[in-house]
Amino acid sequence: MGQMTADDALRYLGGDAGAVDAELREFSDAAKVLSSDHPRMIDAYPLQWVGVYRGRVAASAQTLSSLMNQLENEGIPPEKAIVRFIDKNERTLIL
Amino acid sequence: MLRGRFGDTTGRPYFEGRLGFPRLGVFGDISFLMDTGADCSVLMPMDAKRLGVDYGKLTATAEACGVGGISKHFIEQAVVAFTDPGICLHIYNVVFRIASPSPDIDATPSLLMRDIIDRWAVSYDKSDTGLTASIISSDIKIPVKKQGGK
Repeated sequence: MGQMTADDALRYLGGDAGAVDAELREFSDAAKVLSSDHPRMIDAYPLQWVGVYRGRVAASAQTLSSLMNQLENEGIPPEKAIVRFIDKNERTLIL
Repeated sequence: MLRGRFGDTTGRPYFEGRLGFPRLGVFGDISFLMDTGADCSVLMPMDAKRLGVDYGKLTATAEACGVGGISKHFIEQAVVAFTDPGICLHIYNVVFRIASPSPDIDATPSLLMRDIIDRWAVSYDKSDTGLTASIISSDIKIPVKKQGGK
């Protein structure tokens, strides 16, 4: 790929700089909410996929595909939602 | 200054970023697990599905060696942005690996590797100041215009 301009980069990233900044901050905040509320998530959504958008659980399902469908049915863009599988016993990762 | 976080349950280090694939025409926000132990960044199936990656359009492949053995990935040119909140977007033009769907990795987070981390000065302090990164270099820097009233 040749030299990329700032305008090109923003086009590939889906918006102007202000929008990307605001949406990323919102996404980060949602990630923190999901993370800090994990013990309650285990009680409420054990062994389920959950999607968090704008600070709240917007959908939950037993499969990732079902969750994606629910998010889309709610008009929530999946690419801007935090998605997690709520597992009681977190798998050990060695990556 | 980029601000990461440690997962409250697992303690894993994350940085959130916006990832786009120019050729595929998809983009989205990713919680990247910071992983200094590998050579290039990887988009995992959970996030590939969220972004709407069409695996049928992926062609270039490469192998990688990990603790679980040899695995094959797709390769795709990508742009990824991280925000110094309210100040500046830092954008990187990099090659990403895309992992094929597999039940074994269906909940594994996407990985941010040294191809980007090498260009940051990272502070990793779980007991006090948290996870932050100062930018040493980026491919494109774009100031964020302040929104009115914020």
